[in-house]
Amino acid sequence: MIQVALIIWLVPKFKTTGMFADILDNILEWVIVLGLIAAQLALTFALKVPGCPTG
Amino acid sequence: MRAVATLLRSDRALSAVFALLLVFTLGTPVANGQYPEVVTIDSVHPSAIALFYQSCLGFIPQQDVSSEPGAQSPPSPKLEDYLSTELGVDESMVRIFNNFTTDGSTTPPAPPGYLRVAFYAAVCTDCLPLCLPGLYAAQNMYSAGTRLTTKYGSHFEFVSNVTVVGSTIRYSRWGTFYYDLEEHGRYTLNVTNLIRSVNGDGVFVSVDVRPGDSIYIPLLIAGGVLLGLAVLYTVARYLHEAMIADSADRHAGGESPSARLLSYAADDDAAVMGARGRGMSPRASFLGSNIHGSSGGFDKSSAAVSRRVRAGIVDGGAEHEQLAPELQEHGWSDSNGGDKARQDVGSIGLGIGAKVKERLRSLDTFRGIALSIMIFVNYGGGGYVFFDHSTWNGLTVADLVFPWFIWMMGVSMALSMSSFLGRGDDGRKPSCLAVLYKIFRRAAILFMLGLMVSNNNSTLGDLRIPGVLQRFAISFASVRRLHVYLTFVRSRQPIGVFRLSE
Repeated sequence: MIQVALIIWLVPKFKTTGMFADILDNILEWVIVLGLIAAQLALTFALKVPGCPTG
Repeated sequence: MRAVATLLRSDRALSAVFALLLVFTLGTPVANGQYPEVVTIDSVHPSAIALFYQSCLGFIPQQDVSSEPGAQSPPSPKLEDYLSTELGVDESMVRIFNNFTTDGSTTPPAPPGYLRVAFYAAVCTDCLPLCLPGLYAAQNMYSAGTRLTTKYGSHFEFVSNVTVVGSTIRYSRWGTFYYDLEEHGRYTLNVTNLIRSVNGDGVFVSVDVRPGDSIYIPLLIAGGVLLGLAVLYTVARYLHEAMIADSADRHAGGESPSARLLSYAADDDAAVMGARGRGMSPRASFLGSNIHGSSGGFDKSSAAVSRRVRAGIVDGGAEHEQLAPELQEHGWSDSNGGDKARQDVGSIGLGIGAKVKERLRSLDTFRGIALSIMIFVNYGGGGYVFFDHSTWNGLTVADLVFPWFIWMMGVSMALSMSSFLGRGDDGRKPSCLAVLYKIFRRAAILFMLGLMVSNNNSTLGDLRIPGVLQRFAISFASVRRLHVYLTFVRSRQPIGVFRLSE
């Protein structure tokens, strides 16, 4: 929660200028979507299902 | 030092290096192995056991299987079979010449002449090899030959002493061999002893080849034709616009047509700008992020500019070269057109105004390429292995089409955001419910279409729910909702602006 608040607070300060303006413009989406991908990869490669190999 | 340099320069040193390389490459087919390697494969699936048993033990009378009722004598080798067998698409003919002997000193001792060749397509990682009857040859004999697929690399194993106990397979392996077969090629694998080494007896394989066909020529021709058409189209359009310019000049009493054409050619950039003036990059609207848009609609000055740019083909001169960027700056930062047509995800509304429906041409081009490849893949892909989906592991061009479409959907989403949140027909911001309704309606339509496409011949009982379009629908709904929601969060307006009540 704090991180999200921090991001929301910080991002407008870098938004229009700076090297990564195009990324920072949508930073929350980046974080959430990368989190979704990480979750999927974790499920795929780490979840132990009896009788099945991972991956 | 000088001696070394001289040696390096001499031909003899070069050939010595090559000889050494040759020895190293030929002499070590199995690293640190002692021939024969005893291969044990545990807990094999019963159906695989059955296949393996049938292929490797079912046909050769041999000490350990001679009592088996199903055992048959190997097919008698015929040269005509090898030479005149009709070969289809992606097929080659392979036989072996068995010149492999052992002196019986190895453990376990190999019965001479009982060398069998097991095979699997190399794309199948760690797969169980199956023996091929057509590749069995008695001592100093050719085998009958067998048709093998050329789609993937071929992995051969030279085995003997095969035993199958329960779900365990055990055999002696005298060597492995990898080869890329070509379509319609005919190959003879000459199997002889590896030069005697500390590793014991291994097989050494040399290959006699009757070369096959080059399968990529049709693809090259097709690519050449497409490229030619593209060039032809470009040239034709170029000439066409030159003709327009000519006729305009004639009306205005300008220079001669040929001079006009020359100056047109010299003024290439400007011409291209003029011709493509309407297909500008959406960069401004990307970065502008004025979804809640401050400027109310269509800027008058940029309208004038765009009119001049479009007329620039007729006007000629370098004037529009400077005007075009101006258009880019003005016209594209506006995202509040509120054009109904731009609410479509497929069509990326980037309009200058409501009247001109603009498209991002690079994205359209990419979409066209992806669509062409998709249709090509769906109709067989010419039988090419990379236009087919990978069987289990790996990634082919055909596998990339779906990710491409997903990516394009995301890009379109970012571009058409303004129309989703822009003012509606009544000039007011849409309500939260309206936006959600739009999102879920589109997702539901996609989902239903997907169900129809992927279940064209099944009952409700065996309806398959997931599919390509269904995945599109789910990802569209979730990402679009996320995008809409976070756009509001980012704008630091209270969510209440979203007016749930309306």
